Amino acid sequence: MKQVLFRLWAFIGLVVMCVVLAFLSEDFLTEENLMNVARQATVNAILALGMSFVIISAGIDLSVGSVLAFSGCILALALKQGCHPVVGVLVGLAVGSACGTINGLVITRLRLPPFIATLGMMSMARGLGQIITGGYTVSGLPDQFKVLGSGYVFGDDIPVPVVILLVCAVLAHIVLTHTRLGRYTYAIGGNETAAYLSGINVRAYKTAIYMICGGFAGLAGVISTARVAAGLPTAGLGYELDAIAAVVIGGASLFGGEGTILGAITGALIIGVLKNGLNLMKVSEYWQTFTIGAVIVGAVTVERFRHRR
Amino acid sequence: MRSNNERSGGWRRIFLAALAAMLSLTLAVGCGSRETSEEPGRAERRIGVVLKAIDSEFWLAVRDGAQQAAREEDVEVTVLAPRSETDVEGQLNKIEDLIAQKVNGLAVAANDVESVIPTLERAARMGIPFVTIDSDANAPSKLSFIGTDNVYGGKLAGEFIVEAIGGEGKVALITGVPGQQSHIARRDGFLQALEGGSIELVPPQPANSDRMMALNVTENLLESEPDLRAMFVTNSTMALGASEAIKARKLPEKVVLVGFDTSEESLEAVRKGEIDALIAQSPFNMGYLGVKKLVEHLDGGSVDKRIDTGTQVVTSANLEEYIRSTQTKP
Repeated sequence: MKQVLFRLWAFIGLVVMCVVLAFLSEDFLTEENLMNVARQATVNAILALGMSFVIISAGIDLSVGSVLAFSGCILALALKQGCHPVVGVLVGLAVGSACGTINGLVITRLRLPPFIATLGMMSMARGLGQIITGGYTVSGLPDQFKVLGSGYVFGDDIPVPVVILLVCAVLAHIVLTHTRLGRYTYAIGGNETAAYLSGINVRAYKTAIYMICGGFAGLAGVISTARVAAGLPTAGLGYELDAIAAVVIGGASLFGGEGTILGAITGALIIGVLKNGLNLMKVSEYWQTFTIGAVIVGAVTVERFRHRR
Repeated sequence: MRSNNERSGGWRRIFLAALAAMLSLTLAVGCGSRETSEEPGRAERRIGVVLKAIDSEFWLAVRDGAQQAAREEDVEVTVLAPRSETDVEGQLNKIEDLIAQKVNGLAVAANDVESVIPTLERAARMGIPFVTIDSDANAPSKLSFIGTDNVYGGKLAGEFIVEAIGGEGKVALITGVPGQQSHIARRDGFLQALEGGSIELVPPQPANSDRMMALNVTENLLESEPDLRAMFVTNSTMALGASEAIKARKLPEKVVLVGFDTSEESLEAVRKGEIDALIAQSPFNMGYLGVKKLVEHLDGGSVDKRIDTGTQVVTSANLEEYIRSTQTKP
């Protein structure tokens, strides 16, 4: 029982936080507010899905925030050129996947450490987003497209981005637990040399892992662009850190081989609930920044403690 | 490699997760049904203020203004801000959180003119009135835009220059990023003030609100127009760049330099005589009037669609007085 509790600690932490907030603020447990939390956590949660693959494989991707902005800008420009929204979404996904693939190739072929390769992409994608837009906001997007960010389904109750997230989370969970790609992701993260020696095509699978992460960053770019109804070259600044934090709070190890999709979603929700709760409790922006840092350190400390047992 | 033991742990985990989710849902339903429909008393009124960021003196002054008005009107005010002025999505989150709290009014300084509109309109549909402060958004249900009258500010700058150079001579104009509304308005006001006199305007140039670029543009101007008498620069960051170029050529006595907006450093430059005048905005008034006007509306009063928060010419003559007036925090 104790062991199970330890594995579930992030989820328990989330529930405890919700209960405490419900007592501290009467506005927390309203349908309106819970939907806010879900919608606000969606972009980070989607980034965290992709980041889970990368972190489980013992890698890191610092470029997701910039890739989000770059895909969002290209997509917005495409829509302005009269592209159908469906084509626009595919363009966004393709740009994200392409950036991820380049990350993967630089890591596996040029043998750069993931930290450096993706740090480079972080700056390159940010720069490209600014170049193609000239630094201006790309606004005036079609209403059909905006639905992806601010629409609702099932009788005006469930935000569209939350539905997209749930579908993606289930898919990511299945891939990670029930396919060869998923097993190899854990194997590469657990011990890359052993994985290589047992005949796994490590280069190909690693490239695929970064491509998946880039693809999710592209999707996050689609949703974020739809939500703010504009392509912003400055979007997603610092989002990579929130995504990494979500995955780590959710119990993944930065040394690889460990982590789950449920954990990553829980981590993203913890960050989302925390930000929302602090807003409801009128805590200043400065303390919010501090508190989120403290929660990350606290979460990883518990994680360490769990490992030492 | 994952062991069988861990696999079975996975199922137990899912079961417990479902249990916990059910528990929290029960709690949600239990507590969510509480509703109050009575008209809130004065002291229970809550006003939400969302700034562009809270990383400069300007925004701190807006916050102080909002809090001052809240004390005077005996309402509760919540001031929130995203992490930077470019964080559009973060700002939407803050506004949504305030809507969920069912605040009685919202004052918002929009980070993006368009993105914020659907969220603000949603607030209006839920019966939450809103005003925009400092930076406008063209939302149909907006009660009022409360901010600087930039055309008038530009006019003040023009009038100051006309008087300082005796109504004749060459004058230059440096503006911000092409297309930015506030800079265009400042330019228009400035040009209005110059009309009809015998002042010759050198073709205006942009310096994109960038200090380094303003320095380069000014250096080129001083080179190509040796008989330049005065310059108007449409913000204080660029004014500091221009002042460095003028200093380097040892011309502060000869060229009249006027900037827009104030900062600690630019006020210091006024004290040293490196900048002749600054057109000061009143960020305090934006926060103060933002809250005041919302309360007036809630009390059933009518609010003007456009409220000017005031502009003021700051020179070495009234510098100390101006600084004192901005530092009084009751």
